[in-house]
Amino acid sequence: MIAFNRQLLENTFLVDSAEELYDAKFISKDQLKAAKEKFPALKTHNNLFIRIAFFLLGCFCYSSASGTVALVCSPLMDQYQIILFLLAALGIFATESLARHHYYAHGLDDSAILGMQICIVGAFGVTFESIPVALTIATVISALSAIRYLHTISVVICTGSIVGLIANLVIEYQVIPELYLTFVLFILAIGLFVVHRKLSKTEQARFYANPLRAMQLCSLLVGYFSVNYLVVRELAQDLMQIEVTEDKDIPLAFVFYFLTFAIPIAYLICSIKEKNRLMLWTGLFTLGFSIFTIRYYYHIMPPEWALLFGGILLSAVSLVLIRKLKHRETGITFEKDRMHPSQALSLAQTVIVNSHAIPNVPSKGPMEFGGGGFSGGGAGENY
Amino acid sequence: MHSQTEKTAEILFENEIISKDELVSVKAYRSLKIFSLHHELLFLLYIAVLLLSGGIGILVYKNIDTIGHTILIALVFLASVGCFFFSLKKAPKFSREETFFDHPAFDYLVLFGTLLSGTFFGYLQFQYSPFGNGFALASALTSIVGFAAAYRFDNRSSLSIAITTLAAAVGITMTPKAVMELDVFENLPMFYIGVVLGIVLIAWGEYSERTHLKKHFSPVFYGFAQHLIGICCIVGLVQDFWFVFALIVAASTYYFFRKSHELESAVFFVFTILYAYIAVNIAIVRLLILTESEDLMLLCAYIAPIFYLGSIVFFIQTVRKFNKQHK
Repeated sequence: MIAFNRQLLENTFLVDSAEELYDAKFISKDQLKAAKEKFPALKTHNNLFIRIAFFLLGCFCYSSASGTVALVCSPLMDQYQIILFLLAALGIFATESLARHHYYAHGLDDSAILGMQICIVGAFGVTFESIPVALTIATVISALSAIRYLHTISVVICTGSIVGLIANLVIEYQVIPELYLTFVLFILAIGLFVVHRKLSKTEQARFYANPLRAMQLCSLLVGYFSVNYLVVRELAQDLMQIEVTEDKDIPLAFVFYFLTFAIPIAYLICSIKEKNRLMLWTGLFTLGFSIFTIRYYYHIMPPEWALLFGGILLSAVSLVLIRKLKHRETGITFEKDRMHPSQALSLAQTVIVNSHAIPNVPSKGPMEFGGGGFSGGGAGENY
Repeated sequence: MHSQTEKTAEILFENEIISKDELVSVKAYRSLKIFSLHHELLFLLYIAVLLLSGGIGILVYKNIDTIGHTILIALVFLASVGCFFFSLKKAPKFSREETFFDHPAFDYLVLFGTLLSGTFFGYLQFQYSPFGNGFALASALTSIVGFAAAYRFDNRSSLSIAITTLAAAVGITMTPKAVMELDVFENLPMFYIGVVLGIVLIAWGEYSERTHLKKHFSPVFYGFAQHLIGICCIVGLVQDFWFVFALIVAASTYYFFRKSHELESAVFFVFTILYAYIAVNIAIVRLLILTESEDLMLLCAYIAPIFYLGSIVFFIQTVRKFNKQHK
C-alpha cells in the first residue's frame, strides 16, 4: 500500500534517528555524514519553515494550474463538474508522481495531497449536491492518502470528516435522537484510541509514527470535547431548544460536569504513567479549557483576581515540582533529556511574550491604557 | 521515536560507522528511561508569570481614579524592583558570554520584573503624563529597562520585549497578532522608520557579534530586522513609491543571503528567499499593470503554472545547494 520505495523509506527513518543521536551528542558530525552517505534517503525536509515554504509554492502552482485548466476548458462551462474531475485527476497524477520521485514530507507533496483531496471532494460534492456524500468521500480519500503516503495531516482531516458526517446525519437527517450525539462521538473517540493501540503494535507502525500520533491526538481531543460541558450545553441549547435556568440544567448535567474535569486529570495521570508527552500536553490544554468552561458560566471571582490566584497557584505547583524533580537521574525528572532537545518551546516563549507585553502604542490614542496588556494570557490556555 | 534510536545505533554499529563503546553509551542512556519535564514545567511557570502580570494589569486599570491606586502603583513599582533585586542577588557575575542562573525559575522572575516595569511606566504616563503627550517615552523607558535586564541577566524574553517596545516607541506595533494582520503601520513614513529601525537592529546584531558582547543575542536582532524590513518592503511595494522599496528588498536580500550562509541558519535562508520571491512577484504584477496590455495579462494567466513550476525547481536547487554547503 505504501507508495514509497521501501528501502529508501527505511533509510529515511534511520537517518532521522541518526540525526537525533547527533543532536544528543552520541555520534560525531563525521559519523552522521557517513551514515547519510551509506543510507540514501527520501527527499524530505526536517525544517518546518522550509517545508511550509515549499507547501506554499506547491499551492501556488496547483492553483495556477487549476486556473489554466479552467481557462482552457471554458467552453465546457455548462458541465463544470467535468473540470473539477479533471483537476482531481491532475491532483492524483501530481501526488503519485511526487511519491514516485521520492518526495516525502517535503512540502510539495503536502500541497499536492491536500489539493487532490479538495478537488475530489469538491467534484463529488457538486455532482451529488449532498453533504453526507461529500463527507464520506472526504473520509475515504483522506484515510487512503494517510495510508498510502504516510500523510499526517490527512489523519486529522479524516477524523474531522467522520465527526462531521456523524453530526450531519444526526442533526440534518435525525438518524438517532440528538441527545445521543455526544455519546456516539465519545464512543468514536474510544474506538479511535483502541484502533490506535492495535495499530501501534503492528510491524509497520514505525513508518506510521507521525500519523499514529495524530490519530492519538484526535481521539483524545474528540473524547474530551464530545463530553465537555460547555460544548454539550451550547449544542443542546441550539439543537434541542433546551432552556437552561437556575433550577433546570441540561439532561445528565452532572455527568458532563464530572467528565469535564475527570478526563483531563485522567489524561495527566495516564501520561505520567506511560511517559507519553503528547497526552501530557493534551491533558494540560484540556484542563485549561475545563477551567475556561467553568468560568464561562460561573463568575466565581472577578477576572483580575482569578488571573492572580491562577498565576500564584500555577507558579507554586510548578516550583514545587521543579524542586522535587531536580537532580533526578532516571525516570521522571526536571533535568534536560539529551534525546529531546526542544528549542521550539523557548523560542515560542520569546515570541508569545510580545503578544502580551506591549504596553502602549501611540496610534490608539491616549485613552487606551494598556499597561500589562489585556491580550492577556497570550500563551492562552486559560481565560 | 526513542526506541528507534537504539535500533539505529545497532545498525550503525553493524555497518561500522560507530564503535562498540558508543553503542553501549547509547544503550546505557536509554536504559535510564528518562522522561524529562524540563520544558513543560518551565512553560507552566511562564504561563503563571503571564497570568500574574495580566491580573495586575487589569487590577491597576480598574482602580484608576480610586483612592487605592497610589498604593497599588507603588506596590507594582516595589514588586518590579524586588524582582530585579532578588535576581541580582542570585545572578552570576556579568559576562560577555552566555550565563545561566543556578535555578531556571529566576529567568521568569526577571521576565516578571520587566513586564511589571511596563505596567508601571504605562500607568505613570496615563495618570500623571510626566512624559508629555503620547506613549512614546513610556515605551522607550520600558525598552531601556528591558535591554538592561536582558543584558545583565542574559534573558531572551526581556530582550524581545525591549525590541518590541522600542519599535512601539517609534510607532510600530510588532505583536505577532499585528504582524499576522499586516496591521503594523499607521502611515507611509512608518515604512521608512521601520526600515531604519531594521538597519539599526542589524547594526546592533553585527556589533554584538564582532565584539563578542552577548553574541548569542545577535540572531534575535537579525530575526526582528529581517521580518521588519521584509514586511515594510512588501507593504511598501504596493504603495506609490514602490521602486524605492524594490531597491531596499534587493539590498536586504543580498545581506541576509550572505548572513544565513555565515550563520548556517536554514530559517534565515528560507525567509530571505521567501521575502525576495514575494517581492519579485509583486514587482512583476506592477510592471504588467504598467504595460496596460490585456493580451499580455491573459498570456500570463496561461503561462503562470510554468512560472511556478520553474520557481519550484529553482527553490529546490537553492535549498539543496544550501544544505550541501552546511551539512
